[in-house]
Amino acid sequence: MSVVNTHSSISGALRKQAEESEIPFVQALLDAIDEAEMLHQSVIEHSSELENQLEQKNRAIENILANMRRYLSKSLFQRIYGGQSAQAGSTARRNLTVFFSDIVGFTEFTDTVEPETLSLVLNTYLGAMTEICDRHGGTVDKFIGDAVMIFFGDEEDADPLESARACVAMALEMQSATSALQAQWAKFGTQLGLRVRMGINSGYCTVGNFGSGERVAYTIVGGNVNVASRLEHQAEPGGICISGSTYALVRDMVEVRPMGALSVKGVAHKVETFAIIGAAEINSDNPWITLNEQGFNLRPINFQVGALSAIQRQPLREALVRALSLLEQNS
Amino acid sequence: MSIKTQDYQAHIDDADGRLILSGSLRLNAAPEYQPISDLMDAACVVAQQRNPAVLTLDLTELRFLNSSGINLLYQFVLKVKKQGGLGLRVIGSNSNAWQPKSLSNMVKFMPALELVMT
Repeated sequence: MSVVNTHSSISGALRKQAEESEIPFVQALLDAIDEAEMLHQSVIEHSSELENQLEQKNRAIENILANMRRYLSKSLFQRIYGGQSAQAGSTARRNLTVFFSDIVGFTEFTDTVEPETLSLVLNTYLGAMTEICDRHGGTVDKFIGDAVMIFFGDEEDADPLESARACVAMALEMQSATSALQAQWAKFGTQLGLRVRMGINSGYCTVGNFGSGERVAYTIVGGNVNVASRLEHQAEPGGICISGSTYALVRDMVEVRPMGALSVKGVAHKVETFAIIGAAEINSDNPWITLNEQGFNLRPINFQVGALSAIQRQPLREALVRALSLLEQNS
Repeated sequence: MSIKTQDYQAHIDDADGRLILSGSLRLNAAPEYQPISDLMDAACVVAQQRNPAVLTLDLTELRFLNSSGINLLYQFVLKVKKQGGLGLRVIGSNSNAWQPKSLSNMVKFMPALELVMT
């Protein structure tokens, strides 16, 4: 750098004088200075080229990451982005709450509609479910057609109580969201009666990366996963079936109806099952609906547009969704 | 003679005496590049004994070269030009994004240098 600065400083008259000099040493010095400047400029050009390419690569990586976010759950993306191991075999035992859901009659539906309609219905449904799951902090393990598998509590410091409560809150919100989805589909001429079965179980599972050296999946395995899957099959259309171990953690959150004990292959003990009737807080907080053993009571509604603010409408809306859900479950 | 590391390789081809640099060269400064510089000098001696006396520098597999590395190459081209008596042929690849620009700059240091981009 100092040589180049020297070159700059001898510009103008001094440079001209030096060039006219017939002293060989001065000529050689000028040549050396020119050469050093050319070298300096060429190395800078090379560095700039590399920096620009680095920036391009960074942008390409940003795009890839943005795409990865769409394929992976938030927590799994964070694990990979944070540099945690993605090697097959890195596993841990965790007290999880596991969720399975399935749309009733979806297979028959797929055989009767055009692929475009199927894609629209499935993508809006899975998109809405994923959004609700993300909001409650769950990890979408996988989609299998219309079926969804989600788990809560894979973080090292996760509280099993919070995991179960977040999962049940998510399931309740998902059931409420299906009516809005149905209205959306009707606009496109699709008359699928959307009723979803959901099963939830809490207990120890093995969570981690399973697969080959080439391809691994971050997933969960164990008897408690199978129990959650069985509970989903056991649920009524439009209903949520939870195990006794989950119910013990969410007792104050929900109203339930006992559904008896269930034998699950590979699980030594029988599993107590409960159908969720609704969120418990509706009874105490919502003035429009009262749940009871036989069903529910709705307060007389005299609705006038503009009479209720958006905030005032919310409990009314929740009460009606709850009432509709119960009607669906018992139809 | 050859240098082989996990990141890069440098060797003189026994068959035609060409000097081949490949991989990713990202050493920190001139002293770390000294073994490669020595290998380049050795390649010059081999090439001097051939007819015609032309050294071929094959960089087609050199995916990355940092600024210390390009400085070494430019200095080497300057040295060959000053010493005289030895032709220089550089083979590069357009698939290495840094090469088209940086290798064409070599001709500034030695106008007689033959640059072949594949």
